[in-house]
Formats: sequence, structure tokens, C-alpha cells
Amino acid sequence: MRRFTVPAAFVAGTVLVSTIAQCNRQSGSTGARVIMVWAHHGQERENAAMRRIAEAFNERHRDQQIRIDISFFPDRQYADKVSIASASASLPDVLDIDGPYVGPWAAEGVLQPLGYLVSEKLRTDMLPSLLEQGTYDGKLYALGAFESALVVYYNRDIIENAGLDPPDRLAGAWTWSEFVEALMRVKPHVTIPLSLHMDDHSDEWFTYAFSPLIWSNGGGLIDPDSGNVLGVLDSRPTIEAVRRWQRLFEKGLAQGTSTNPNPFAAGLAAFDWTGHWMLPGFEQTTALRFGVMPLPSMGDKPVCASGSWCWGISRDCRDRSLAWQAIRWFLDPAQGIRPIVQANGAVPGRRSAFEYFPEYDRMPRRLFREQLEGGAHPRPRTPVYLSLTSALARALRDIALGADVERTLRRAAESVQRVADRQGRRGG
Amino acid sequence: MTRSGHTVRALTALAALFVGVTFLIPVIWMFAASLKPESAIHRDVGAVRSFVPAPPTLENYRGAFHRGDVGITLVNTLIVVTVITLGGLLVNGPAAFAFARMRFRGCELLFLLIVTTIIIPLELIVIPLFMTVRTTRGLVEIIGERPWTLAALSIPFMAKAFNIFLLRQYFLALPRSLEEAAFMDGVGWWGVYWRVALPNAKTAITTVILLDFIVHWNDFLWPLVICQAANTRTVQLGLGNFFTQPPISWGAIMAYAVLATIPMMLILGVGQKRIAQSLVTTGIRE
Amino acid sequence: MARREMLTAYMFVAPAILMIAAFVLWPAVITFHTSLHRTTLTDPGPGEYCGVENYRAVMSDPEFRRSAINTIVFTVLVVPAQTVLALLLAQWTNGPGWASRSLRLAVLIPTMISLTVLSVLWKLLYEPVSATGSGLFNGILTSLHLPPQPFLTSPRQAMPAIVVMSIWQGVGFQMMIFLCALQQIPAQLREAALLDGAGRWRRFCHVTLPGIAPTAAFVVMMTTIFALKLFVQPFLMTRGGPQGSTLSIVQFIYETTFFRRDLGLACAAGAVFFVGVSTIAVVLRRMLRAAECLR
Repeated sequence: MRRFTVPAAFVAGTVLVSTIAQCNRQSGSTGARVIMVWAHHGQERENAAMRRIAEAFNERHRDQQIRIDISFFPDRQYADKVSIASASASLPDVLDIDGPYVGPWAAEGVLQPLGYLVSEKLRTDMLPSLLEQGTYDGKLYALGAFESALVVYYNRDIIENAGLDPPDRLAGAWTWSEFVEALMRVKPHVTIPLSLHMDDHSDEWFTYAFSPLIWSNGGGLIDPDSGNVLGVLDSRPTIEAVRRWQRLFEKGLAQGTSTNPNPFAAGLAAFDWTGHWMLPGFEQTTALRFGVMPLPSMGDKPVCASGSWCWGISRDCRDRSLAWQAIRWFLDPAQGIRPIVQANGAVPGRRSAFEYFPEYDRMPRRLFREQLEGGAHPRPRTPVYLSLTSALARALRDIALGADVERTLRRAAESVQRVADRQGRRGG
Repeated sequence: MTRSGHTVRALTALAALFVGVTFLIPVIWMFAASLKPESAIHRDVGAVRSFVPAPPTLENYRGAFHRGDVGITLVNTLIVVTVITLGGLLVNGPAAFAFARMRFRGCELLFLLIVTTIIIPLELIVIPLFMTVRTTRGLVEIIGERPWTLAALSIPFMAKAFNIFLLRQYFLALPRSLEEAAFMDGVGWWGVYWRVALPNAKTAITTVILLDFIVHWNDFLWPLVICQAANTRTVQLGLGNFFTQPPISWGAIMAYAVLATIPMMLILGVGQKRIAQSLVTTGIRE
Repeated sequence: MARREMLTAYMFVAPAILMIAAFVLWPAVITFHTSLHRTTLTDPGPGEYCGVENYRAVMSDPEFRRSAINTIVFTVLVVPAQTVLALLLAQWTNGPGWASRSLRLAVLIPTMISLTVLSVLWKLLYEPVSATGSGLFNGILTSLHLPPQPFLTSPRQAMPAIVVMSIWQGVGFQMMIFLCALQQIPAQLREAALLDGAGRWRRFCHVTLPGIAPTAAFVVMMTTIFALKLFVQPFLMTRGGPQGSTLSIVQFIYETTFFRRDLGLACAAGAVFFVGVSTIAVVLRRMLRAAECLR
């Protein structure tokens, strides 16, 4: 008999352990109530601030035995992570959502509407672009603690040498030709006239950074009513905008690829097309004298990018009001917004939070605020957003390296349209 | 030695030097970059200077430990790989032995079934596999997040068709007389396996252990799917994160890469030859 | 006795069988099942049955075709080149002496480093010339007064660049296997051939090659299967670009799953891939067997 013991014990052990697990799950947990939160992995400072916010929450709610348990995942893997968790019905209670993901996740039922949880007072206090970003099909699914701003930073030393005077107001934004002319003027004096971060690993950067140009030229990515991509992403105005953008690379004004992820801080670039998130780093670089200006526009008026990470409640959350307690804490001007914004340099998401930030009355941050209040353009909210953004990113990467604009955009449009058609057949 | 013989020898040596350098250049570059300040990496990139770690600094390694948590990811990976290799031995060994030596109904069919799974790539089954594993998620409440994750990273990969196949080839080659002698002594099958078969298959066992070590030390997709909390991540996943997460510092990334590589080098430096040897033996008898 | 033996045998194989069933076969069955349904990634259920619709869609999908061609091109380029190179290196370094030993070690070093690490590293090395500098390879070309190359940024060079990197990484392991095979060829055979007055080439063809043929068959088989699973290198170095020139089947499956969120289609692609790999494996095996019999 003895010779059977090892395998038999193995089988018995497996059965025993899974039985215990089953029982334990059924009996439910008795101790502290835990709110599982998943967040994206931002810069180190940002994560630390987020951890402190959660700890403060736990401290405050110790008597009620409520606890936030927060995990961080890098941007690129975060969405995959949520998708798999959703498929296996194991989402955390509260999800950090990148703005454009609100569309797909709301459409697929990953998120549940916030509905009555959001008071009228909170609604009116939020930045309008945040409400718009969180709304899909008429229902509010997510709210963010902060907004983003996309601007062009410039190196004062280089600019002044070239005798340029960039605008500091949204209304005075350069036209595209003025911008290109300025780049040509600085070109002889600098290694890279304009840094466009074409080496960015995320697909999202390309859609976020360059669709404002397409919009300002009257083009678009997707038709909001029909959901059609074909005929929009490859429309005349879109092709024209991207072709003008491509000339930057042809003329050597920007690099299609780069070994240096941050040439502007090293003083190698005259202009840097990037977001608010680079500001704290630039401010700490003592050798760098810089300013900010709004994005140039290809049409009559400038178009600003907006959108940022926001919080929503997942389908698998059992206790919505508990989850909402966490989100409300994250959105609280003093407890949530102040520390996170101090860490990531983003624009506070609530009007009442600006009182903690006098610097938003001065440049460079005044421009951030002005852009968002002046009506920023959110990225499209559509169930096919992920295919759209990945196809657009692929197309723009290729175009920067010299691919034919019209053919590339057409192929991208066709590929996204195929996805949309199949999705229509699946019934969302 | 004739003069032309000398020339040939010199040429051969030169060629050998060239080939060797070709294989080593990228690796030396990695080590050098990990020891240089960030600005120097960008300054020297593409130049001969990029192989000289001057001025040398350990700043990148500090960055990898502080910002990248490389310490805990190394420990996690080590635990996972150890559980896979040792657990795998307990599971695959007896199965291989049974397929090699014992006759039972469905033996051929079961073996065929197992061998077919060799070509099923993980990428194909990752989502259903994740769903399967998730059903044990309740255990987290008993054993905790980190042990559960480490178990989920290792247990599904313990049983492995390729290893069963490899070990079976070895057991097939063992002379029957050995086990007959053991049977005479009154030991059962388990005793034969434990006292005769295993000690005689040391090479194969080392191979299986080392192969498992290589494969799972380098796993990327599965940890990507399974790991949640930062203290449960493996080293490749940590590197993947570190590589894409701003602020990007090539020096620290290279330092991370070096740290992720050293254990592999140590293990493989010792065992590479053994693996090859037993793979050859398997190939011949296939 | 026979019954007891059978019972013991089942106990021996049970843990392995159960685990493989649970962690490989069952998920594979689910994959196949899903491929026959309209399923969105985040759906917890299987969705609506749709027959072979997903298979029809995947076969007519231009991106899937592209990825299949790319993957086959990669395999066709890598497998023969790597095998021949490995054999040459093995033949060359087969001997005592510090030179052979250090060369062997040098060739082996890349195999000890994970593909993740190496992809990150090689992307930097392949960097084209730009205002901020260039990668190492272009630095070398420039210093030799040769024209710089775009490497990964060119649709024509990207796949060859990945092929070179993959061969560089994988050849050491194969070389080691060949080396062991060479050392197992009985010395008498070689001496006999030498006495017969056979030249270098004839000795190689008539003694060495037959001696290592079974090993070579095994090596070719494993390399082929491995090459068909191409994913990490292009995923980290080019994201499948430029212009789709390095998109592999596994990346297509990955993106169909996570970007298109079309699990049904992804599973159908996975099933097609599986059938393709199995067929190639079986055909290859037959061919290699036949070649072995011929000699």
C-alpha cells in the first residue's frame, strides 16, 4: 500500500485545499471591508502620492473598518490586464481608466454608470471636459481628479537667439505656417528643432498628440453618429493635415526616431511637443530656461487636446456605495486632488481645487487652465477606440518614416472599419 | 609547420577573434552602459567610447533597485522557477517512468495526447488558462496575495509534455536488468523508480531542471497576465515595466537587464553542456 | 500482478495527466469552442454560435495573411541559416585548446540572456543615424566610411534585421547540441576514412554528416516550431512595423484579442495557427525521416 501514498496524498491535498477555498468564499469575509483599486503606473512621484492618498483614507476610516487596497500597472499592460480580469469576472471594485477607454469599457459593460452617486454640486464643480470624457451614450461612467494639457515648450535661450516671440495666450496661437517658419529659423542653431517623442512606446501618445492637428484642419478620426471610420480617417482634410505634419520629418525639423527620450531637458531641442507631465521635470532642470505656448493650428482657431485618467466603478463591484467612498476621496479637493496634482503637475479637475494652486494664475500653468476652460477637444468615445488608436499610431509611425500618406491612412481606415463592421454584427 | 600553415593559422585565429567579438559586442555594450551616467550613454552612443564605462558609476544600479524594485522581482522569480523545476520533477518523473516501463490500458493514447500538447503555444490558450486559474482565487483569503500569485505562476507549468518526453527517452534506455535485480529484492514499482531509475537518469534530470529554469526565468506573457501587486512581479515583467515607464533612463534599464541576466549566466555556465548532451541523446533515439 | 501494476501505473501518470489536462488541454478546448462563437474579449460568456464565420473572416483578413507570410519568411530565413551556421561553428570549435573554448563561450553568451533584454538592447544598437547620434551598428558603418542603414525603420530591412538578431541569439544553443553530437561520432570511423584517403569534404559528407543526421533533424524541428512562435522580438523592437513588415501571427492574435477585442476571431486565428504548426511539424518530420533513409 505504501507505494501509493505520494500521488494519493497529492490528489487528496488538491481536493482538500479547493474545498477549503470554496467554503471560505461562501462564508464571506468578516474582517475589514476592502475596496480593491487598480491604478496605472505613472511617474514615481505620482505613485507615491497615490499610495499616500490611499493610506490617508485607510487612516481616516480605521474605525469603520474600511480599507483601500491599491495596485499599480504600467500603462501599456494596464488595459490588457483589465480586459482579462473582465473576461474572468474578477475586476477590482474601482478602476483607473484612461479617458479614451471609457467608450470601449462602457460599451462592453466593464463599467457601471455612476448615476445617482454623483451629486449635482460635484457635477457643477468638475471641469466640463472631464464630464464629457466620462460620458458614454448619455450616461456618466467616470470622473477624474485631474485633466491634461498638451502644449509646446520652448527653450528660451534658443528662441531669443533666433529672435522669436512665441504667444502665451490661446487666442494668439501660431498658425501652422508660422510654426514651421519658426522651426526653420532655429534649425541652424540647434540639434533638433522640434521633439515629437516618436519613440514613445504607447500607441495612445500619437492619437493624443496629433489628432488636434487633424481636427484643426477640419478632419477627423471617426464619425460620431454612424461610427464609420472609412471616409473620415482617410478624408481629404485628414490626409492634408497629416501630409503637412509629415513635412516636418522630410525637412529635418523633427526626428522620426530617436535614441534620446528627453532631448529638450538636455538642451538639445528648441521646441518640445508634449504634455503637462513633463513640467515638474523641466522646472527641476536648473540649466533649462523654458516657456510654454499653445499648439499651432492648421485652421482658424486652435484645438486643444484633453483627457486624462479617471475613476470608475467596475461591473464586478458588489458594493457601489463603498466603492464610491474611495472615488469621492480621490476627487476630494484637499485629500485627493491636492496631493496627486502636486505630484504629477496635472491640471486640477475641480474648479474648487484651484484655490490650493495659486500658480494657475501665472504662466506656464495659466495656459493649461485657459486651454481646458476654453473648450478642449476630447478624443472620440467609441467601442472600437483601441483598434482606432493602434491603427492611427501605426500609420503615423510609418508616415514619419516616409510612407505614403494617402495609402497608409486608407489602409488604417479599412482595418478599423473591418473591426467596426464585425463588432456591429456581434452586437457590441 | 610551413609558412602557408602559419598564415592559415593566423587567419583562422583572426576569424575566430572576429566571430567572438561579434557575439560579445552587444553584451559588453550592455554591461558598459549599465555603469555609465545617463548623459554619457547618449553622448557615446554609436562610438567606440560606448564600450568604456568611464566615469564608472553605480547610480544606475541604485536606480534599478529603488525605482524598479529589482530585488523583490529577483526573489520572486527565483521562488517561481524553483517550485516549477522541483515540482515538475515530482510530477513528470513518475509519469515518464510509467510511460517508459509499465504497460497499462490507454498507455499509447495518453502518451500521444501528452506529446501533442508540446506544440500548443501558451499564447493560444492564455485567456482560457487564466480563467481556469482564477477559479482558485478564493485561496487568497487563506494564504495571501503573494503566495497565491507565486503559486499561480508556477503550478500550471509543473507538468510539461516535453519534459515527460525527454525523461521517458532516458528511462527507455536504462537496462532492464537493473530493475529486475531490484524486483528480486522485493521492491515495488515505486521503489524501482526511486532507487534505480532516478539515480541513473541524473543527466536527464539536470537537463530538465535547467531547461525549465531557462524557459521560466524568461517568461513574460504569463506573469503579465497573472501578477497584480508590485511585490508579486517577476524579473522579466519588472524589466518590461521599467523599460516603458517614464522617466526612461537607459542606464538604469541596462542595469536592470544585467541583474536579470546574471543568474541565468551562472546557471547556464554550469549546465549548458549537460543540456546539449542529453538533447543529443534524445534526438538520436527519437 | 498485472492489475496492481496497472493501478500503480495510473497513480504514476495521474498527476501529470490531470495537470496537463487542466492547464493545457482544457484551455485549448475552450479556445476551439470560442472560435465558433461571436465573443467579445470582456464577455464572461461564450456568446452566440456562428459556425465557421470566424474562420472565414480570419482567412480573408489582409492583416492575418500578411502576418502569416511574415512568420513563414522569418522561419524560412532563420532555420536553414541558423542550422548551417551552428554546424559550421560546432565543426570549427570542436577541439581542445583555449581558443576553441573561448570562442564557444562567446557564441553561447547571447543564449543565456532573455529575449526581452536582448530586444531592448538591439533596438538601441540598430538605431538609425539622427541628429542626436546613432546606434552602434551605424556608428561602426560610418567609421568604416560605409553608408548608414535604416535597419528597423525600413520596411525592407526590418525583417532581415530581426532575423540576424534572432540567429545571433539562438545559434549558440544549436551549436552546443551539434558539438555534443560530433563528439559522439566514434573516432575509428574518422580514422578509417582518413586511411582511405578521403579529403576534408568527403570526410564531412560521409562520416560527420551521417553521424549527426538524427541530431540535425531534431534541431531543425525544434527551431522551426520555435521560429513560428515569433513574437517578442518584433513586438518590442518594431511593434510589427514599419508598414506591417514584421507583424507576426502571434502578434496578430495578441492584437486581435486585446485591441480589436474580438476573441472569437483571435481564437479562430489561434486554431489556424495551431493546425499550421502541427502540419509543418508532421511534414518536416516525414521529410527528415526520408532524408535519413536515403543515405
